[in-house]
Amino acid sequence: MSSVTIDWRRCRGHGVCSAALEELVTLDEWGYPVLTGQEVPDHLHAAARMAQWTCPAAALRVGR
Amino acid sequence: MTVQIRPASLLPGIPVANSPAAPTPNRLLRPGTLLLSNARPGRTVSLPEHQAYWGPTPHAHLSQVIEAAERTGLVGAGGAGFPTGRKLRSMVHGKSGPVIVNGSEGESASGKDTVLLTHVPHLVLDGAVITARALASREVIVRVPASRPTVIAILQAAIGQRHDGIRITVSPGEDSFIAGEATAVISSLQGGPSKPVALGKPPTMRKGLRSRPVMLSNVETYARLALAVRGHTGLSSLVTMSGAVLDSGVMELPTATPLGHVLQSTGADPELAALITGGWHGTWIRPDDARLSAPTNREAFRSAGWHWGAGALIAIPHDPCPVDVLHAITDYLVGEGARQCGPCVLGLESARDDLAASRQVTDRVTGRGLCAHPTATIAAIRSGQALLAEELAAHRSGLCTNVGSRS
Repeated sequence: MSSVTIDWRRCRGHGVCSAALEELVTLDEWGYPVLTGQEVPDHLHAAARMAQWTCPAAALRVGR
Repeated sequence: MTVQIRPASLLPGIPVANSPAAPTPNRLLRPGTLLLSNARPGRTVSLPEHQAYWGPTPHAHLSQVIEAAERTGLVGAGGAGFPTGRKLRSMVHGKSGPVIVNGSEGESASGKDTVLLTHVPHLVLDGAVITARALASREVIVRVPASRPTVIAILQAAIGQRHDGIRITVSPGEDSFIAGEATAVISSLQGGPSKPVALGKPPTMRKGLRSRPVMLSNVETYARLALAVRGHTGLSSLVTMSGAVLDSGVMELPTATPLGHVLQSTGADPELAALITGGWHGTWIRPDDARLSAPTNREAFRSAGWHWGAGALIAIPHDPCPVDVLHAITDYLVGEGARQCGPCVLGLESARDDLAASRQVTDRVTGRGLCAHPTATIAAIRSGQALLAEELAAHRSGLCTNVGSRS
């Protein structure tokens, strides 16, 4: 199973990740991501990759 | 010996009303019980004196150093309390960069590291040299704030007396609340900003410095390690007392010392509004009889749910108004943020706004952000808000429960 992490130095609260991966990422009152879980279940792996590729700040990472 | 100290009034609005002298948390109040048992306030123990008392610097294999750390239950004394043995286990003999002694003491309510460096520098250096030899590292770097030239001078004189075959250098650094965080120190040693790099990075930072993992620990941790490797199993608590006390400063005590005794012996105001344990990021507690009978040590504090951090205790009196003090501390902590990420910039500022508008500060950043500062700051504000609920309610209805206060 892979996991998702946020690079807080890069993140500018665009919110794209939440649209791409709404099952795992919600947004706080300022639009910054709140992870509801770090582990990415297999069926969400493609969505997590999409969130990684579409983040305008390249702040979201999907790793082992 | 005069030790360079931080701005006397710690924070604007932080009470020093009962203190005849400016608070000097970097002052040793009396000889200690273990690390500082051969120290006299205001005097540096020389190398011959140190060796006559503790014996020569022992040589030890890495496995022996790890064993000594684990046998004595040694944990990092900078605040996070990470087990030193586990940190050492992640290091590899012969593949380590410099051993770093972190004397940044960014926690401005703590003075213990400065006191150790100015009174028993050779005990601290022993611990670092033992570690460097065990890792086959040839270099030790001691990080001290550049704003403390006296500490740097004492340290350099001590280094000049030693012949360990290890290069020991003093690296002056920034003096801010977050500059002492481990990843911030590494970042600054690499020429970057003195700001934390990442939350939850392994403490040894595998590619720490010059692409080599580095062993970085707090000053007190190395001093304790120097005795643990010598076979000493004794424990002690190193605390810094400040705020509404007659004698602010550093004390080393038996771990069973009741908290009330610590307050009494420093001439604390007997009618305190609160006691903050564990420094500015810490826990606000009501110092009643039951709490004051708790032993002053990390374990006891943890089981009581109180922060220990670097062992800093701050006495908060009724005058000036503790609500004003909570606001001042909040302003200070928010201002000390690295401002590198959303949770820090927006989360901390909105917490300050909530407090200013008498709204409950909510827990909205926990576990998020680039470093632990946003999480810890909001926890501290919430702790103060919970303890001062009554006073805050009075303020909301336009009354201050404290006579002679500014608000």
